[in-house]
Amino acid sequence: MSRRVSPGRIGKKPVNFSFDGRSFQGYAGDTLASALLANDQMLLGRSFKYHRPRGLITLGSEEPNALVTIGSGARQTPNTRATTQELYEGLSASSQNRYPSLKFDLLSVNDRLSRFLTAGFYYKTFMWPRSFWESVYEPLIRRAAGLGKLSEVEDADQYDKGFLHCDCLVIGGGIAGLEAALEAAHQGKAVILCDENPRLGGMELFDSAPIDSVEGLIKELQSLSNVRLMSRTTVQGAFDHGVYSALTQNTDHLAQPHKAAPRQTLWRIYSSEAVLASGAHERMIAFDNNDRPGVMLSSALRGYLNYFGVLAGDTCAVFGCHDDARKTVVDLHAAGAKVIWIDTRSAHEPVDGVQCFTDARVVDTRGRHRLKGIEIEQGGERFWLPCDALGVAGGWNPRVQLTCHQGGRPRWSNDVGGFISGTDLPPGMRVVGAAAGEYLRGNWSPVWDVSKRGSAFVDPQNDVTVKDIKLAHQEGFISVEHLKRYTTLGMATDQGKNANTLGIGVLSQHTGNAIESVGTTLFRPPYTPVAIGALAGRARGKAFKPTRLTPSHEFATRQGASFVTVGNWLRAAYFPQAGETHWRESVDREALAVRNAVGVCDVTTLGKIDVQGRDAAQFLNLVYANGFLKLPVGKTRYGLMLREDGIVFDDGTAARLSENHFVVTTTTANAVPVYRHMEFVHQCLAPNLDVHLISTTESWAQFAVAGPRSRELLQRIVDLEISNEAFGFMACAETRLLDGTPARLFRISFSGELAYELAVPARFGNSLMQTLLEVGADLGATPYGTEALGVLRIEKGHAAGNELDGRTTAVNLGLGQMVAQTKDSIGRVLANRDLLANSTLRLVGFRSDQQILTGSWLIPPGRSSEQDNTLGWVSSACYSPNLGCYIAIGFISDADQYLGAQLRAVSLLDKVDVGVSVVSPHFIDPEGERLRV
Amino acid sequence: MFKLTESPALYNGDFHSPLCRLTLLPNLARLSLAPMNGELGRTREFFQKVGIELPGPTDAVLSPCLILPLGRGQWLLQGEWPDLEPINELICTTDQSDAWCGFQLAGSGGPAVLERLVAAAPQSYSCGRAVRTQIEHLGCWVVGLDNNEWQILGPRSSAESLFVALKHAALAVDALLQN
Repeated sequence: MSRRVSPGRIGKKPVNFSFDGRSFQGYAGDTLASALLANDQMLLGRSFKYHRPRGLITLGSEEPNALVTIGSGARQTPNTRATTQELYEGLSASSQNRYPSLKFDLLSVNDRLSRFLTAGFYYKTFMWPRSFWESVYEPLIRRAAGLGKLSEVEDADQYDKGFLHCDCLVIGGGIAGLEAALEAAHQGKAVILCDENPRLGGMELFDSAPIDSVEGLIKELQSLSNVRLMSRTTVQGAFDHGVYSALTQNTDHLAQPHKAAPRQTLWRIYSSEAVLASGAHERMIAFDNNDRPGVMLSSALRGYLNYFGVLAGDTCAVFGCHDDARKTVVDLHAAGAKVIWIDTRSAHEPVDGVQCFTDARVVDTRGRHRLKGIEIEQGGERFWLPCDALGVAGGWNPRVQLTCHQGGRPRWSNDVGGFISGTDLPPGMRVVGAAAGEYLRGNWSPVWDVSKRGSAFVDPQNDVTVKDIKLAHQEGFISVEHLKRYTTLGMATDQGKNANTLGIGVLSQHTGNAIESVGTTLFRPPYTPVAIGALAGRARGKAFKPTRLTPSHEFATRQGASFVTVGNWLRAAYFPQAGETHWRESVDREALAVRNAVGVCDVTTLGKIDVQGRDAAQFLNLVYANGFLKLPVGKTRYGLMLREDGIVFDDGTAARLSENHFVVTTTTANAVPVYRHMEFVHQCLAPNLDVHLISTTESWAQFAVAGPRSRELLQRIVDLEISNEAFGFMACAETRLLDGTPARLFRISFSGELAYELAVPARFGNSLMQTLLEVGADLGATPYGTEALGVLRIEKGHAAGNELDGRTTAVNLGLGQMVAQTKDSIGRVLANRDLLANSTLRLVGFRSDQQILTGSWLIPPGRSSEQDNTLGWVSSACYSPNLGCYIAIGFISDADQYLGAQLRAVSLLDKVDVGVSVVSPHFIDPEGERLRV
Repeated sequence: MFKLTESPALYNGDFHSPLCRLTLLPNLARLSLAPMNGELGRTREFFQKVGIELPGPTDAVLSPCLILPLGRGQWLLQGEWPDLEPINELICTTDQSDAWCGFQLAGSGGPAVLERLVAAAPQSYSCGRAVRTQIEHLGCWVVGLDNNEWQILGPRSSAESLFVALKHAALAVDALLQN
């Protein structure tokens, strides 16, 4: 049976779709809701808790009932409002929250038990045994109640994000919004107009009156170059500083969108001015069984008729307390329906040929899967009349949601009969049209609850009834905020658009308090539900965050390196060779190669900062705890940087390339913080110093060439005499490679071996890595990664990020003497505080035959593993292939006293408790002879 | 004897669609320049003599070389800049050739691509203007070269991530037009 009585405003191009496996036909321009209604499919879903049959209530984004699942598998979208889902060829929708079928739902037994399932029933029941709550009760309740289900398959759609700027953002494309946009445009402002519907025009489109003026406005706006009209775009939130979020639905209405087209785009709109012209939506009246399929809002009944050409019933009743009911009566009557008009008011303008009941009310309905009749009360008498559609005109709620997003509180207007925006609007926002209550001031008689049994639904989405509200109030939930949380009134996908005002009205009616004193809850973003995918945008998978690749990344990839993420960098952790079955085999081999021959490691990720200017040395003398004024040109110095509070910030080196030119290196993790710190010192603490900073981390590819044969290898590469005499320990030079490539060479060592760091412009990095290994093949040149790098530095007892953890001082690290007391430097004064200066915590080494875990607590033998008994902690640990045992470094109090002692390294998290002996942190070459040869 | 070879910031950094062309720029010479204290005036004069006005914040010089304001009293030069020998004693310079990678974006779809990636207002990267901004968390420069032509500079080590971001946005713009 078709309920289509005319093409409405959408035309007659047929579109095929399915609902719960049944095939239907609608027209292009239909929503899923209008198409189903046209096919006389009144039953669309089951309610959240009681599984009551439900149909449409509205024709817009505020729909609480007609929630369906669109699509399947990776493109399944649950909880889609049928009232906003545009119809397309092949659309496949299914109903939700029912088993086994929509018509026959086993869990509708809940409805029979509804007297026991009142608000908060599960707080009061399911108390015993306690362990059953999570394992039995909650899963059962969650299965029985709910909305749609996720497919649990990764979302196959793509999403998009973007940024828009305008002088005036108009929210809503109804007559008020169009006029506001035109006015702003004529003032020369850049205007963006967003409307959630596919077609601009607002509620005007749903009325029977001609829409020429609306179309004229749209045409004029389209002709202006400073106006951007964005339909299918919902402004979701109003944030600080004139920032608004908006979601455009790009492809949700298309049968076969381009595969690369983003389904939705989330916009961040910057606008100094906003005009909220979002209109208003109608609200329900609470009467018993007001949720039957066929009971909807009066404006919806009218809109489906005028816009979509669908007459919802043969006999349509309209129940209202507001002038707007009459408009619906007139249009239904003109369309040929038999109309019954029930109005709570005693006087209103009649409509010829329509049966009208004044001073009357609808108090109950009947029909299971669709409305069959209504019970009317008039003059103390009650009687039933048959009808198959009922429109309810309970008044209008201005859409003020966005006015609340920065704490604004709506205020009640008796004149409008609804909450309108308060004076505390987001800065730059003004409200116009129906959203401001305009057009809504009419002959309105407040009616909230006319139910007799309390089974009148206030919030159909959460199955909250008048009875629930009364019960909550009776139990002490007097505040409207508490009422909301106890009953779930106004929650879920419609966010109280339908329920809030009615709920407050019901509470007001039953407590006798004026609505103003009952108060209202506030609205938060988003205005309508937003897919999580839209929030993520393009930031998925590989695009989740940027990756930084080292200059030798290509070489490392070809070598089959295993990579580790260090910040955003991808660094080669180790280079497995054929036959190696465990990462430790690779790491041990690489570490031994460095100790016995020569290894090459890409250390480009270390921060590099160019420091130039006439006062460069003085500047470094200030930022480093140790002295730099007298560092000769051609020399490098290890530097320790403190925070203002005296804690160690970072360590690294500074090489003096010329009188006024230094190159500072930082740890990888602190490359940016150190640069920022130095800029702060320069700009704020020492602005008069002639110094200029610039990061060169990206510019130079830098390689550690370490091991007893490193000099032999480098002498084959660089065009520079690098004997110990000519290029001693800590020397540095700007030079060239033998092929003429510009380079920088530093004789510094992180491993404790004879070692150098060689830098070339980044574009030559990959080639240099390859060349070093080819040229040094006969010397045993081996690439090594961050794992071996870590082993080597632990063997040498060098502190790194694990030790510079924001808690340790120079004294703790055994570097107290580096803090020069004869000059001023950042952190010096506070480093001398008693608590820090007299700390007995020291960096020490640990050895064991068993694996020591980083993070273990150090506890004396015989003491329990409790916080009070800890002496310190293990900061870095590894297996040393050179020593043939497990080693670690870490901190303990009164370290001198424990040197040589046995302690326990306990990790409660990993349940590991191993004995360790306390030793010097310098496991290899404590005298430093190897690196000076 | 060895001979080191140059690597591009990214292999295959080009993308063409009906609405935009994205092209990886070759390795270009770049230099940061900062006059020493008290030498800004003489440095400006030097550039004025060769017909270049060092740009203020938000502006860019497009010819004869690209010049961007890096910070207060600091500029980035790209391409073939004038011989700086006469002012060598007045300025600090640092070779930045390998610090950046560059992409050329051209075509009528360019504005739509950039509005998906750049939070700054489009006027800030219109012709002759430049903006330091973030593109998918990467610190970048967007420089307006012409009405529908831009240069985007980003960190060299993240050339691939920047390319992916630009390409995905370009694909989206293209696909939406075809819908």
